[in-house]
Amino acid sequence: MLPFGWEGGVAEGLARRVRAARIEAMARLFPARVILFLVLFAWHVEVAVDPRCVAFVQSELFLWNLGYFRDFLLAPGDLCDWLAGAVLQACRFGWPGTVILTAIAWLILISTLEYLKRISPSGAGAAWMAPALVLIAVHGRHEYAISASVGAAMAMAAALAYVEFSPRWGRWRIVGFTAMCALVYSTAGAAFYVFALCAMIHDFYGPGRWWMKAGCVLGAITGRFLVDALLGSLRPSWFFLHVPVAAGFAAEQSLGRFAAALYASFPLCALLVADRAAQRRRATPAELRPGDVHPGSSRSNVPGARLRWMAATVLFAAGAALAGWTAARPQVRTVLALHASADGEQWDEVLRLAGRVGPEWYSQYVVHDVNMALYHVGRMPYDMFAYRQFASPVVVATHPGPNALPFLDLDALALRKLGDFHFHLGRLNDAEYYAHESFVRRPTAECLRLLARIALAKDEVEQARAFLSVLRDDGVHGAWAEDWLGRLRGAAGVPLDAEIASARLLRLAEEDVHLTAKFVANPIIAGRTVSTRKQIASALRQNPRHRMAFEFLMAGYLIDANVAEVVGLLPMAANFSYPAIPPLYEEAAMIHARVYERRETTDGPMQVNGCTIREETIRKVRALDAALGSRTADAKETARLAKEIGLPYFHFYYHGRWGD
Amino acid sequence: MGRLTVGKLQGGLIAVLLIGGLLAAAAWWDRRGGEGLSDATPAGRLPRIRPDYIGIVAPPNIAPLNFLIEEPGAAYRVRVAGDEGPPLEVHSSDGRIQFPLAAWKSLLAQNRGRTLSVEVFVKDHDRAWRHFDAFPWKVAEEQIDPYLVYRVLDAVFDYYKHLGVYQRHLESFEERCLLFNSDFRRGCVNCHSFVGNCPAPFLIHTRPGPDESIAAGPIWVHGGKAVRVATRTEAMPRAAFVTSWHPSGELAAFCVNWFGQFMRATGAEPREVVDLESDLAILDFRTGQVAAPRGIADPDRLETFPSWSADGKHLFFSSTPRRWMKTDFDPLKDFREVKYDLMGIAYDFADNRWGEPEVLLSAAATGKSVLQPRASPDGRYLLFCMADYGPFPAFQESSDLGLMDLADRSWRRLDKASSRRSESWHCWSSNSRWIVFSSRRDNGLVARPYIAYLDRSGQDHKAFVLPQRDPRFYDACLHTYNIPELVTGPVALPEKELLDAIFSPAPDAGIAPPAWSGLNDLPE
Repeated sequence: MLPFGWEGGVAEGLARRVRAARIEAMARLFPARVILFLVLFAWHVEVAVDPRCVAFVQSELFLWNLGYFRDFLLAPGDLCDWLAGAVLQACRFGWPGTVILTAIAWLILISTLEYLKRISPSGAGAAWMAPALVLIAVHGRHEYAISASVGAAMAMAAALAYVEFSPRWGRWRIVGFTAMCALVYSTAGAAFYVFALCAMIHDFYGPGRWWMKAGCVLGAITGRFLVDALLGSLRPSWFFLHVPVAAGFAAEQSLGRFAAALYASFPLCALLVADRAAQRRRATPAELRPGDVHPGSSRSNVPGARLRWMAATVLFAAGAALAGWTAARPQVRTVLALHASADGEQWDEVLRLAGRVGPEWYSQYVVHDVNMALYHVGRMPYDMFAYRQFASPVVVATHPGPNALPFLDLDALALRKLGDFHFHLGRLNDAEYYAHESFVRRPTAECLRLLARIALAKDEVEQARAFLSVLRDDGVHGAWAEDWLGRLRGAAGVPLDAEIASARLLRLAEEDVHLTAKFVANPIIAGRTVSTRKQIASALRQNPRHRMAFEFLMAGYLIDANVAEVVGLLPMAANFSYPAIPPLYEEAAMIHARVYERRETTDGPMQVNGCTIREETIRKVRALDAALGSRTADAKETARLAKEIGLPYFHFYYHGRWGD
Repeated sequence: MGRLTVGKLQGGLIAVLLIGGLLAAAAWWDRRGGEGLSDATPAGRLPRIRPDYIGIVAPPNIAPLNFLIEEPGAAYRVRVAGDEGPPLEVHSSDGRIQFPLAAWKSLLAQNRGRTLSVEVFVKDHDRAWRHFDAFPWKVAEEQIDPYLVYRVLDAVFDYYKHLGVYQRHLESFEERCLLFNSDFRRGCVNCHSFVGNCPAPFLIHTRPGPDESIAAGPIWVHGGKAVRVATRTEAMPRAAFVTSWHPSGELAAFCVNWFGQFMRATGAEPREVVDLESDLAILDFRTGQVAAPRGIADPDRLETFPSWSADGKHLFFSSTPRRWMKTDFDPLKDFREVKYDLMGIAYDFADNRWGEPEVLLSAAATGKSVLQPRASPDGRYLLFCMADYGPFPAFQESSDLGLMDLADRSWRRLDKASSRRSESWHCWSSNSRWIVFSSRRDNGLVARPYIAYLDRSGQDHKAFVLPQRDPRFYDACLHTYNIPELVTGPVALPEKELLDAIFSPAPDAGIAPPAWSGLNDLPE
């Protein structure tokens, strides 16, 4: 006998067998239909949904440290939430989130497929496609909790493991099942029901004594409540950041309708497949219908099988595409992308997206982001009314207004935006207040970064260090935090930075709370209501060269159609480096002159409150007059013509002040 | 049989050799880490450490004062030596110095009343050791009460989410949550108070959170039971606030406040509080009656922060003329004008008779608002806060600790214990030698419990922060600690009974503060 490797035929045969085994394994792990679905799924998530928008909706502060991770070991299902949080961090970067979500989808489907094959030896059929379609549909909703998919993956993987290994456990099956129930419940929370039902369906339709099957039911209940009792008895002395919900049945109560739909699809399909398989086992050959696979025979031997397979695949792909298309909401994605871009201070992108937001999606939050973008690119007094404007140029903390996306945490979002607004305005204490309020309601990395910037602008070095020390463990802003911590190490005071220097320069010098707030004597704890308009006006009063205060104050008056106030502030335009008085202000001045001062638009230069109106604006107003003729009292016609001629504020003023 | 015995012997020998080898390696490693210490270069200055424990006076029963050496280096070594007992040496690769508990306790016990010398060595990357100037840790003779109860919450402005009352064993790092608000629908819990540093009985107050079904008011925990007590009357319809037990344990003085909070636009601290109405009342646990004698509930004055003397013969409190709706006082404009006097009033427990209130320290004389008086258990001193103005020292950067000698009414600022940030919510140990208070000196935003020693002459010493197992704990902690209270033993909390009491309706629930009708009268 020659040494191994010398006998070419044997080695070659062995290599062939290894190759064949690998190919078979790959075929089992990556069936063609699953691959096709995953391609559609990935496209749907990346293009139609945009994982960055999902992260904007769902992502909370997530820290890559042990203290934060430990918080998630104290309640059932919280580990699943932690994993989902980690996935959301990847989503903040875009395509990495898509890759991971697709991998989770693969795990769900392959586990489901293999599980169904084990409960129906003749094959899973098309049953696994139902959860797939539900999966692609639910992932079309930005508010769909990613943790549900993570939980489903854990549950179905556990179900597969159970059906694969439990036959070897003999009498210990109930104990093993109970232990697995406890494990899945503690890690995946409500997804435990998916595992328990799928495992019990396998056991109920499989061989076994009735008391074993009844024991499984008891085991599931025992496992679930045992975990509750154990975790409830651990009273942690400290929560770093995440505090688990203490209520009973918290995992079930937190289940949203989309997650419930996804979870329900697995046991329903399992029931269908198991029942059909049981019927086939009982059926005689004469009772089999054409196309039914005789127990023991291969499906591929059935005539026309390949054609039917292809047809089914095409139908499935079409169904998946339809499910994705139906679930997708392009306008919602546009609005979310706009908000995410505003968070990233990508102002040009904000303005580009704003042009695509339809009227029924234009909320006060969009108005706020658009106006911040216009201010930062220096176009606010020029192009403000090229975008929809209503109610207020900034968000109002207590009134979300129309068209706001209901699944967003609107309070926390409004407070954070106001915090950012006041930071740029130089009202650092107000910024600190809003940022803190937002952070307590919903801790986010963006909020923590804002708090750190505020502290830096206030020269509160130790306070800034505290925020930065937490933020350093964030995946997106960690590098920024680490950089600042390095700069602060050993530095006396806060090192200079353009943004910080600007905020400091604009910082309020005089206390003005008595001018900007109204004391409200609530019977339990008195408080105050604050006027953002008055805060802006006070900032301008204290610093007449405060461009942001000037432009936002003017913006507020323009939206309110309070042209008298606009005219009153007009001379202050000379404090800023405008090449001339911005056209929108000129239009307001012209309206004031015509409506309130009853002045005619004549040839020659025109002055309003000591400010000269440019000839170009006068010419347009004269053109409007000429076009209107005797119909000057017709507001609707005035608005229409003003838009044609290129007088956007005239259009806004006469249109009823709500835009298009 | 013989082979088995030989096998066992061989196995045993191998095990012994392995263990011996490991021990030798550890000893070699330990010694190697200290090689070159004798040739260390003097740095010529004190080391930078965090927390700042340099030169403090420590209780002999305190947990290890673990700290972080903030010097760049590749290796660190600390040697703590006293007159008695072997020195304690700790080495570290990242600057974190964590003393072993048993050795620490032994060293402190042996050097009680003496001074320890702390030497810090830092090994540079070029393998040379630097030796920093040694600093002292004075170990006091007197122990500190072994338990500290405090409230932990977010740095709250208007909205809060989570808070809890915790108990820390000061002789170790063990911390236990006594009550966490997620157990009762995120209600508020506050103002825990004990009788003379004893863990029982005690009072704790609750307020509703988002779920308004949680009643507002105090809960009396005694004898393993918890029961809500009625403190509201038609004349004083608001829920009780800060409470002080009479040393008899049969009376408690509390304040009933209507206060307002708003945010200032300037200054380091945005938060500001004004008292609109405030009076004191006495709850008699024997009869359940609530009384508000005029001396402590003057309709023309605001009284707050009651505190009994150690012998129960005096009640100390803060007081200021009432301005709200009596003058043209505008809370948002005139809040800086409000300053409180420190008052005292005699009380005869046997006859239930009150004296006349007298001013112990006036705002006019000091130019400050004198708040939160706390009498020492030995009856000698009165500890209080002094802030530039206002009723709430926790939100006043200017708030410092002051001490009055009750024998001659002389007083002084506690310069060594105070800082440039807010100090407040102070308490005494049962032996009157230690004080614990909330200080926002670390970053101005959140408060930490600070401990300071007061010697028999009333001299304060440098305060130090409550030690933690990981010296970097406070770096990323955004929670604030307030109302620290020293107690002599662990609080035995009947958790189920307490939660039942929290969820029970208040016995005085029918009394509610009236809606204020003067909204339209406010100046615009």
